[in-house]
Amino acid sequence: MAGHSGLGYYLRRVLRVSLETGTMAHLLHRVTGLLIVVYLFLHIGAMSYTYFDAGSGFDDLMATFASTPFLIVDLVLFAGVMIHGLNGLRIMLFDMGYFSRRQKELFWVMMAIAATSVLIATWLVGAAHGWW
Amino acid sequence: MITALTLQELDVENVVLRGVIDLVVFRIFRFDPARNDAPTFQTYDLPDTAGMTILDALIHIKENMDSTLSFRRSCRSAICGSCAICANGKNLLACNTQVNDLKKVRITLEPLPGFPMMRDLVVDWEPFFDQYRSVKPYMVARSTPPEKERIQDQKTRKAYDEAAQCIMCSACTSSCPVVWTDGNYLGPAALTKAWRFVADDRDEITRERLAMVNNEEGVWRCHTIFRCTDSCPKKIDTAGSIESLRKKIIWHQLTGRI
Ligand code: HEM
Ligand code: SF4
Ligand code: FES
Repeated sequence: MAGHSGLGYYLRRVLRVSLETGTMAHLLHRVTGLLIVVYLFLHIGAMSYTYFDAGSGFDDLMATFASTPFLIVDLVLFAGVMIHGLNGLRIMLFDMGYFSRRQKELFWVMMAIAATSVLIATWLVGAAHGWW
Repeated sequence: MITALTLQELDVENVVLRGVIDLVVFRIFRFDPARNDAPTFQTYDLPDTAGMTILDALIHIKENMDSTLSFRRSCRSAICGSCAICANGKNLLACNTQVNDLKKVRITLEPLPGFPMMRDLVVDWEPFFDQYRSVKPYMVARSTPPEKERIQDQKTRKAYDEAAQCIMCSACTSSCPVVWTDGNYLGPAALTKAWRFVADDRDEITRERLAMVNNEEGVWRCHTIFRCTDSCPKKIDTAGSIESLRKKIIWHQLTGRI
């Protein structure tokens, strides 16, 4: 028989769980955490460009990163960081002994702050790049 | 007339339909290690489920439709903890959950996740009770008892009131994604039991108890996902009791007591 614990078991089960608020928060936290790690490596990779090419290549790369598709990806990344960071704060509050009985409400408070910050960031990025 | 067959074919999970046709399709996990290589799901259609608990439905199926179906139950009144199962991905007691409260036309019943399977809806609870026994689930008081009783004030009694309601159904431990990943994690039920005695001031081995859970497979493995709290039929904040243990451990460390 298939095992009843381990990474494979976790992945199989987690795709079929009932999505209570806390479970949703856990999955979002995990996915965004991994997303930021992936970004970190891409970022280090891109920034090391100067190491291989001391010419104008790096400036061209920077110009590409300032184009609309990349800016949208930046905003998605920003949303991921806000969700991860704010939910991280939520988890740390529990560790300090607060709000355990109010975990669902606290999740939505944090997500409301995240959504507001993403809206403001979108507005600022859009204003700087002539979207409106 | 909509038949059960078309319902299954359409894979309908529509709440509205419940008002139109009174029929629930149970998809039940079937596995007999002596006969089957792999588990399958078998469906049973039950009309007229009003007033029926999930356990009533299982008993109805066993008595009238398929006597080979295995499941556990004893008290039928939410106190023995034997009927815990996983319904539509959520752990609950079959005997105190109304079928119609799930508001679904299709209900998938599975054995509790995270435990070895024995047969159909029955799991092997030995690993669960091993964890339970490992936290010394009884009061230890070695000092000479007073003449009448060990006095406890009401406030202290209240501190573990919730944790003392546990019926050992294992719904919490089985619902935990960390348990699904790491079979050695003590799990919320055993940790809540540990907290029950740490919070009881008549118990005299608080330091030993904190040391028992102050490790990687104890309180520090918890990711505060709250599935355990959400699953508990006795509404115990199991995640909260793990946090309480952590807080106590930190406090003991800061004040040099452990
Ligand atoms: C912005 C401030 C941040 C806060 C407050 C924060 C907070 C946390 C907390 C509390 C956890 C543990 C969650 C748990 O117990 O399951 C965690 C996990 C994690 N964090 Fe962060 N974090 C932050 C930024 C980052 C960054 C910048 C990265 C990536 C470079 C990152 C990657 C991860 C990963 C991969 C995990 C493991 C996820 C899991 O096991 O589910 N975090 N974070
Ligand atoms: S804490 Fe609740 S869910 Fe966990 S074993 Fe006890 S009664 Fe069951
Ligand atoms: S049969 Fe005893 S708790 Fe459900």
